[in-house]
Amino acid sequence: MPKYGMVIDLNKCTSCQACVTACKLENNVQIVPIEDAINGRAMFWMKMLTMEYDGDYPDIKPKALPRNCMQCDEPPCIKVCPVRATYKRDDGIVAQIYPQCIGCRYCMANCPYTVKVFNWHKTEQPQEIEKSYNPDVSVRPKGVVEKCTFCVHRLQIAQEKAKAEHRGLEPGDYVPACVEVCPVSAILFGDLDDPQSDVSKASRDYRAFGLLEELGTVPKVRYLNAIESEE
Amino acid sequence: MKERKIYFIQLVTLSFNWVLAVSVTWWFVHLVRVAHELNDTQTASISISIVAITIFWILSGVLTYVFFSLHKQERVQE
Amino acid sequence: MTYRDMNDEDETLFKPIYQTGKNFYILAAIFSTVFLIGIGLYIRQLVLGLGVTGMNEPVTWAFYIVDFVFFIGISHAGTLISAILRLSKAEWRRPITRMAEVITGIVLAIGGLHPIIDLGRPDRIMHLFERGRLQSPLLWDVTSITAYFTASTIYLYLPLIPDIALLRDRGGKLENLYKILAWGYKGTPEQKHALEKAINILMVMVIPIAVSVHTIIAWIFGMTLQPGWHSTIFGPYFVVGAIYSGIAALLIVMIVFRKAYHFEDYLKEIHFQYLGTLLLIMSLLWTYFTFAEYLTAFYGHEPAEMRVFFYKFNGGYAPFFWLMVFCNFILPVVILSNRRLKKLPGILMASIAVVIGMWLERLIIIIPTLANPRLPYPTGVYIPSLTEISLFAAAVSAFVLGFMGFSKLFPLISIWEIKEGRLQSVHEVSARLREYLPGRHDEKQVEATLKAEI
Repeated sequence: MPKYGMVIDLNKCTSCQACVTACKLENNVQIVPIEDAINGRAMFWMKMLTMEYDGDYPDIKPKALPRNCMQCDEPPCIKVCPVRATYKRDDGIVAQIYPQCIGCRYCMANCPYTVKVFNWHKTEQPQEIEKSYNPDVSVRPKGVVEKCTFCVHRLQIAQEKAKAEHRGLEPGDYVPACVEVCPVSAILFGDLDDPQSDVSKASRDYRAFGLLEELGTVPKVRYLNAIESEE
Repeated sequence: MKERKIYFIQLVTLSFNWVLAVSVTWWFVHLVRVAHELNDTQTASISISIVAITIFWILSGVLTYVFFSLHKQERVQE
Repeated sequence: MTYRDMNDEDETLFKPIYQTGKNFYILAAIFSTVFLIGIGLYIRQLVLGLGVTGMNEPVTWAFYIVDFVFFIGISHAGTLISAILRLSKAEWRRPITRMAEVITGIVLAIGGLHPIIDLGRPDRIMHLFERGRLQSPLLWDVTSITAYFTASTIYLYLPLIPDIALLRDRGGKLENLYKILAWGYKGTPEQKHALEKAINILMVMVIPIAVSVHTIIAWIFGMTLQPGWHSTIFGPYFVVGAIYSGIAALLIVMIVFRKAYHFEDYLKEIHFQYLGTLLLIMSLLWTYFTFAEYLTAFYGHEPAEMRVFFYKFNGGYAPFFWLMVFCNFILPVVILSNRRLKKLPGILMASIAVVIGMWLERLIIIIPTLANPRLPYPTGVYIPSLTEISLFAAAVSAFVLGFMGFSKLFPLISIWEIKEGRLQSVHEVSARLREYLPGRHDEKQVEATLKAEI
C-alpha cells in the first residue's frame, strides 16, 4: 500500500501562488463574498503562509511557504470527529466525507495547523466559475467542513485508467493539481514508502523539516529549508 | 377519572424511562459494533458503554421500585 | 398525623399555583416575545447557514458554545444544594432544594440544545446515533448530559411526589393531572420509607454524574492540542466554576421569587447568609484555580501559550479578562466578607456579578485560544452577530418562562420538607447533637442528671 506524501522545496518556491489558484479551481472551492473574506472566511485549501519577516525596513524579506493539509500520520482531527466524517485511509490520505459531516467543527478546533475550512454560506458563484467546475469533484453543501485531499479524485481516475490498461499505478500517473502546476517544480509528490521515489529521498534530506513536528502529528507534507545566501 | 385509567396512564409515564434505558443500551451496543467493524480503538467505547448503560438501568430500577412500592400500599389498604 | 391536617399553615406556598397577578402575564408576554424572536432568527440561520453568525476561521466556536458551557455550568446548582446538603444532613436546605432542582432541569434542557444550534447540519443529527464515535469527547458529552438530565429529572420528581399528593387532596384545579403524577402517594409510613430510600439512592448517584458532566465538557477543550486548552487542570476547574455559577444563579432565583411570591417567612436572612458564605468559598476556590492555571502557563513561557496569555492579559481581550476578575473575585469577596455588606441587596449584586463573570470566563477560555493559532496567521477577530445575541436572550427567556410555568403547577418550596422540618427534624437534630458530645446519651440518664442538677 503506498503512503502518499509531499515535500515542498522552499529554496525553489517563489511564492507565485500558482498552486493556490490551481487548487481552488481543481477542487471547486467556493469563492466567498468580499465581506466574508474580510471577516476571515475566505476558502483556500492551499494557502501561502508568511512565516516570518527577515531583515530591517526597507529591505524586508517575507518568508512564505505553501501550506496545504499536512495529511498527518497521527491526525488530531480524526480523533475528535464524533461521526467519522474524517478518517485516515490506508494510503495515508486523510479523507473528508462531506455527506457524513454534521458541521460541529470540532476537527477545525483541534487542527494545530488550522488547515480546515468551513462552508459558512452557500453563495452564488460567478457564471464563469460555474462553467468551469471540475466534474470529478463534488460541490460541497453549506454547513460542512472541507480541506485539501491531495486531489484524491485524480488518484481514483489514475487507478481506473491503470486498471483499464491492465497495469499497476506508475509514479507520475497521479499528481495533485498544485504539484502539476508549479512552474519551478518546487513540490514533490509520491509514495513515501518507496525508497527510490523522489519524494522519499527528499523527505530524508538534511534540509527536511515538518511544521510543528514536536506535537507528534507526523505531518506527511514536509519542507526543505531554503539555503540562506551570504550577502 | 376512573382509578384504572389513572393507573394505566401512570404506567405509561413509568414506561418512558424503560424505553430510554433500552434505547440507550441498544445505541451503545450498536456504536461499539460499528467501531469494531471499522477497526477503531475499542477501549474508550466499551468502558463508557458499560458505565452509561449501568446508570440508566439503575435509574429505571429506582423509579420502578418507587412506583410499585407506592401502589402496593394502596392495594393493601383496600 | 397525616398530611391532610397540616394544610393551611403553609398557605403562602400554595398561593402562586392558584393565584396569578397581572405582572405575571406582562412578564410572560415580554419573555415569550424575546423567545419567539430568537426562534425566528434561528430558523433564518437554518435557511441561510451558519454564516449569519460572526464565526469565521480561525474562531470556529463562539457564542453558542460559550452559552452551552455556561448553561450546563449553572445546572450544578441543583446537585450542590439538593444532593450534597441533603447528604450532609444540613437542615437549612429545606426551602431551597426545590428551586435548585428546577434550575437544574430547565437549564440542562436549554444547554443541551445549544450544541445542536451550533451544528452546521442539524438535519444530520441522526449520524450521531447511527455512526457515532465513542472515542470523541463530544459523544461522551452527549452521554453524560443525557444521564444527568434523566437523573436530575427523577431527582426533582421523587421529592415532588408528596407535594403533588398535597395538591391532589386539595382538589379543584388540575386534580386529574395531580392524581396521575402523585403515583398513589398517601403518606403512609411504608410509602414514606420507600420514597426516602429512593431519594437517598438518587442523591448519592447524582453527585458523580454531575461532576462527570462538567469534567467531560472541560475535556472537549482539554483533549485538544491547542495552547490555553490543553491543560490538566481543566476538568476540576470547570466543575468548580460550574458550582460557583450555580450557587449565584440559585441566589438570584431565590431573591427574585421571594419578592414576587412573598416567601419572606420561608427564605429567611439565615439562608442567604449561609449560601452567601458558600458563594464566598467558591469565589476563593475559583480564584485559586484560575491563578494556578495562569501562573503555570506564564512561568513555563511556551511561545504559543504566551501569545494566548498576553492576548487575554493586555491584548484584545484584556477588558473582558479584567472585568471577569472584578466580577468573579473582587466584587464577591468584598461584599461577602463584609458583615455590613452581606445583606440581601449586596448578595444579589454579588450573584449577578458572578453570573456575568462566569459567562465572561467561558468566553475568555474559548475565543482567545481559537483567535491565536499556533501557525503565524493574523489574529482572529470575532464580533457577535445579532443572531447569536438574540439566541442567548431567547435562552435566558426560556429559562425564566420555564420557571414561571413550573411555579404555576407545583410549589416552588418543598412543602412537605418544611412540615417535616417543623415536626421531626427538631428532635432528630437534638438527638444527633447529643451523639456528638461526650458522655452517654441515654435519654432517661440525661433527664435524671438534669433533675439531679436542679
